[in-house]
Amino acid sequence: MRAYLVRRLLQLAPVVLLILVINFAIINLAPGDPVLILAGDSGNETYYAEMRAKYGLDRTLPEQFARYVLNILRGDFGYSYRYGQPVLAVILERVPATLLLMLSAQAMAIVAGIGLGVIAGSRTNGYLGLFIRTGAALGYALPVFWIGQLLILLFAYQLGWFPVYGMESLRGGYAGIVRVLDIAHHLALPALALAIVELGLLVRLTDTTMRELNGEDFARTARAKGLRETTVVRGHILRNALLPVVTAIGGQLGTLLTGAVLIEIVFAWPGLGRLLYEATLARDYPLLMAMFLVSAFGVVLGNLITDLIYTRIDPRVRLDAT
Amino acid sequence: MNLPFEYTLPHRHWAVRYARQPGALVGLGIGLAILLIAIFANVIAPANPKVTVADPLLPPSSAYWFGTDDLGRDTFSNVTHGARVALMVGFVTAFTSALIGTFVGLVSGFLGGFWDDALMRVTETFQMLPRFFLALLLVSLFGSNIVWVALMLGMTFWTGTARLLRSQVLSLRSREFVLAARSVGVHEATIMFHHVLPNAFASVVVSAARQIAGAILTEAGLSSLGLGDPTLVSWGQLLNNAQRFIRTAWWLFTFPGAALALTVLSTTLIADGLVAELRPHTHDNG
Repeated sequence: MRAYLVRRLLQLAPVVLLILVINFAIINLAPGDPVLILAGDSGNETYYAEMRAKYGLDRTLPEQFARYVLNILRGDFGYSYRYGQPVLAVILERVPATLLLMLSAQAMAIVAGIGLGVIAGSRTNGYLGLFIRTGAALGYALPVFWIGQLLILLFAYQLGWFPVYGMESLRGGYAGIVRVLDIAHHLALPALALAIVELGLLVRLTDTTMRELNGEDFARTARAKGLRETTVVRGHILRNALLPVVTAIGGQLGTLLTGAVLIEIVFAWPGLGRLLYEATLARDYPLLMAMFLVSAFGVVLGNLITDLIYTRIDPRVRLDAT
Repeated sequence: MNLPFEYTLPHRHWAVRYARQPGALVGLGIGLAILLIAIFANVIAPANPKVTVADPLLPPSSAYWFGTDDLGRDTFSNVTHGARVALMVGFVTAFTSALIGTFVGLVSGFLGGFWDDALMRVTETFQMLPRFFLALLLVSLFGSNIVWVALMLGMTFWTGTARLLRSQVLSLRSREFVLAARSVGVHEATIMFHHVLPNAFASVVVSAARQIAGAILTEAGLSSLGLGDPTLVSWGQLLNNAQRFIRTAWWLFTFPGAALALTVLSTTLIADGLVAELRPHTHDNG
């Protein structure tokens, strides 16, 4: 197990280096001089030069890149132009809000998605299956920004059941359990909006994979030897059908940190997605570069976790096999 | 990666069998309607989408079917013109992605060895780039011209096509017909493009059909953040503009959003139909 992990991490090294290069290249190819944004366009050349020296922008590109990589290895991701704080601090401050939102949405989507997918997948010709399948195709097609707007109009403005914006009532000054409930109240709509899209994907995937496997030899054998239908579906078909589903969920894990840009903006949720948007508008290069790295590493980590889960549900996948 | 099935082209009447699937037929119908609306947007739209024609924020009525926006522009005209941007982005992105994906997948699977390793490492890296983040970054840094946005999306979407095609080419390259062609002295490049590629091309088509939906939604996402092409009318931009009026003018976001959903739904249904058609064994247990 440990040897496998070490080898996997070593395999990732070139990928990580390539991500660093791409990241550095994008920022440096971008038009516009960050100094002008930092210092305003006063035309004061000595001040510009000072700022360039302060942020290392006066060095050659290879020098800048080497410095950049070294600093990252030391855990120093740079200093945010816009927030005037170390980038890492700015990012870490936003992590809890995004994780809370994404994990709640994922939990809802996984439970409901696999559940509904199994129902649809084991009822190939019934109306219920057709209904679920149609709903899933529709859910998959809805633009997430729009779902957010619809939910706000319906449940926040018309019915008044949920708050419209933010993560907690700022004037409430709640503490303890009341605060937790207040946050949950704010969380419901954005999490639901995210879950709806994800749900469509998971239902579709579970459903099609299950229907495909339904005609496979192993399913026929299981039925032929007289197993009950529920045992065949749950123990044999579903277990195999979970493989692509786990892959899809693993893919989503990687986007946990930045996947919610649109929803965070519709609902004014104070997470990483909004930070990303603000950093983009402000051309806060150090912050953008760090966020890009963080989210790319998120994907790498998500893939690694997916592979580990694979070995749990599929005995054919062995860790020592290459 | 494990591939649950292999795409193969059936020999005859696939169009006829395709038309027997109700979902696919519905998708095709909606898709054609949207295509016609996009082509004839000038004729269908009663007003120029950029010109004030009435009072601001009028609700839907017989004169202004989808109401008017905060500057008194006709929302129906805006929605019909938005179809152009959506379909353009969908097709250009899918085409770009299919082109790159086909090349990478074919070369990688056919040549094997060093090229396979190198190209697959690049593919894996591209797969790990956070797609929406990258799009957001590139658009805000390099501008949001619509053709550029579509090309850029295509440059990030190709990895799935490449991997799918590669796995098919891997299984095709050692078949008898390839050996036969090689034994009579056919050039390697000819074998690659004329013998192997046509046999695996169905998977490229399916991937491309799937990517149209993803591209349309991604562009809509960028535009709904206000990062779309400012010179064109797009559904995402209409959603962005409507954000300030969710409470007061429901029609401003309802219609563009529904148009987006219908378009994406139709491409998804069309792609589903293709998948079912190109994968014969699902008919056995349908």
